[in-house]
Amino acid sequence: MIVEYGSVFITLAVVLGLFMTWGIGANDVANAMGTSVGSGAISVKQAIIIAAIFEFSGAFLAGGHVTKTIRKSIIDPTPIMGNPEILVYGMLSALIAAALWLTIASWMGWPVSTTHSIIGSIVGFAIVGIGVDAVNWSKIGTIVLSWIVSPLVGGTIAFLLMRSIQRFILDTEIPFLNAKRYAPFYVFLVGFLISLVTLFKGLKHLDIELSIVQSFIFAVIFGVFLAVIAHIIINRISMKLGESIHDQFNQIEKIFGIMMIFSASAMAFAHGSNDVANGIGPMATIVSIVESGGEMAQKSNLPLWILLAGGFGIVLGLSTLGYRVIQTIGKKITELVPTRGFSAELAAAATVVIASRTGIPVSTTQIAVGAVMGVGLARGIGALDLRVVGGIMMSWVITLPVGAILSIFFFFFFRGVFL
Amino acid sequence: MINIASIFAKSPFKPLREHMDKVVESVVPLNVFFEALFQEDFSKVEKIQQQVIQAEKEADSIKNEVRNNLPRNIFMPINRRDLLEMLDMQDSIADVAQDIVILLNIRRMSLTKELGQDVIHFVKKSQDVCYLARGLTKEFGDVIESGFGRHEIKKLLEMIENVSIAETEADNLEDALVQRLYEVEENMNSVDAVFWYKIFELIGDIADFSKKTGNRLRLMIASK
Repeated sequence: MIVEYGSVFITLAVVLGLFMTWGIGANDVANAMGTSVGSGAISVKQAIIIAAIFEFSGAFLAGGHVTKTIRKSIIDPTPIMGNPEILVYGMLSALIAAALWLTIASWMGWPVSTTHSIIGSIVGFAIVGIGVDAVNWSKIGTIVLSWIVSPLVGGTIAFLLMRSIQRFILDTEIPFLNAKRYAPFYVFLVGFLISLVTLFKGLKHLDIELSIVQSFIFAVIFGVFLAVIAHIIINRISMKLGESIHDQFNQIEKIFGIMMIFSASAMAFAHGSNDVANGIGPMATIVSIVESGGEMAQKSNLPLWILLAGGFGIVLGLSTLGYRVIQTIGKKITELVPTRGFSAELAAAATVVIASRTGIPVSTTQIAVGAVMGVGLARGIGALDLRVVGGIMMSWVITLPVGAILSIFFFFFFRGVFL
Repeated sequence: MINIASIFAKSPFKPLREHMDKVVESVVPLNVFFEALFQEDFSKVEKIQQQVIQAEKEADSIKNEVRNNLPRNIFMPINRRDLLEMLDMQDSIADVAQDIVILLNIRRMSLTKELGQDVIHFVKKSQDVCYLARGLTKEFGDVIESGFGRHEIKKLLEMIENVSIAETEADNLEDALVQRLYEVEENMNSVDAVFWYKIFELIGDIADFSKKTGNRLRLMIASK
């Protein structure tokens, strides 16, 4: 079976996987970049460029861990050791189901999380095609728990960031001077956090192994490097003496606008590192089974070309359709200023990248929403619509079972076709 | 669609400020109105009445807009009820201004020259209190930008205190006027006299509601 139809399976897997990543780039990235564009810190064009560079980097450098989880840690395939094609059909079904749901929901304007879709689809076919016991329920439990916890973590970090900005900058006698003084520290944080999480035992797929100390030192150097760049750019912003508080706040927002370039890059990196797996995880499973002639080697490494393809797919989706979606979302956000946007974005990016490093697939959008609420709790935002929280619950209730049902349907279809 | 944009709701703070600007628009012509009234330039009186009524109508529509955009599950750094009450209090100022001009355009009453001067002095004082209240909403903008920093809040609280003090001065002027009117009320048409007492009360209300606007603001910025 595998040998006969091997090339068919691989072709299908690659096409569908690329379609998924294309969809992620076209739709999901806009939520990651939304706060930067909405706050006026960067233009849509700049957002696309930043996203293209950093989504790809995030996917390639740090996307392996979540991909591994989706490939190997959700299903225990030992019951079907003799029939590896079941896993192939299953992963194909999961891909189609998730891709289909993504397309329909995007068109209809319904809430959709690519992460929830793929997890629901995989669990769906696994229960039916292999057996309830084949699903690693404790892992699923961890993942679902993280879906609840991660927005809270994002919110807490955002709250603390906003509070610190208030305490050290906004609520002082000389806010503008303090902004200039402390901005580099915040940019240092961006560089330090992202690189530390990425480097810490994270680059095995590139055959780079750094010790804890080495990772730490490199992260510090990178952070300082970014901070210096930020300092140079920000120094250009000046103020005349005796300006009103209102004018000082305006200039401070300009400074944070520059800082948002860094936080936007971090956000794109984080998003790429977590969501690329939704497209290439199932794809990688199928490819490895076919190429090994039917062996489901649990130890097989993720081929680099798959990571590259995933990153490429995201960038493609981003540059074709993503432009318009980012524009739409950016236009709808009218009253966000860079100090608040930076806090929310950095908090979300940090949370997502930590989840990526620990191999947990999370919903970037939900974490971003949590982060914005954290800033709101710090009295940073004028008005937030809490009905969104209800909408998030709804997306759970809809997306998980729909993904599962669609996936089961396609699984039976494939089994019928290829039997 | 759950996208990141759907969590942001329309902030009511700019409309709140725009509303106060409209309210002030209805109050600004009042001293000129009284001057025209005492000079018996009734076409001017009529014209200013229309101005004030128009400003009050526009304030009303801003107020309704704000109310429509504040559903119950909106989350703000201040209490929703407090904000709606401050909005109502602001709106009352414009209502009072309208009451004054409508009343006096119908009952085109007159006063002695001295009393007339005192009334205009009182009107200007009341207007000042209203302008101080408008300054509050402007400063409130800085409070919001600073994320409710203690510095800005302290400044705002001081300004609110000043509004209170100014209102007391307006109150004193009102008391003095009432006293003076009482001394000469027998020399007037008694119905006119009653309505002058009413007018003094209304002019005083402009200052009073302005002060109360400040008080609502004070409640709003206290910790949520």
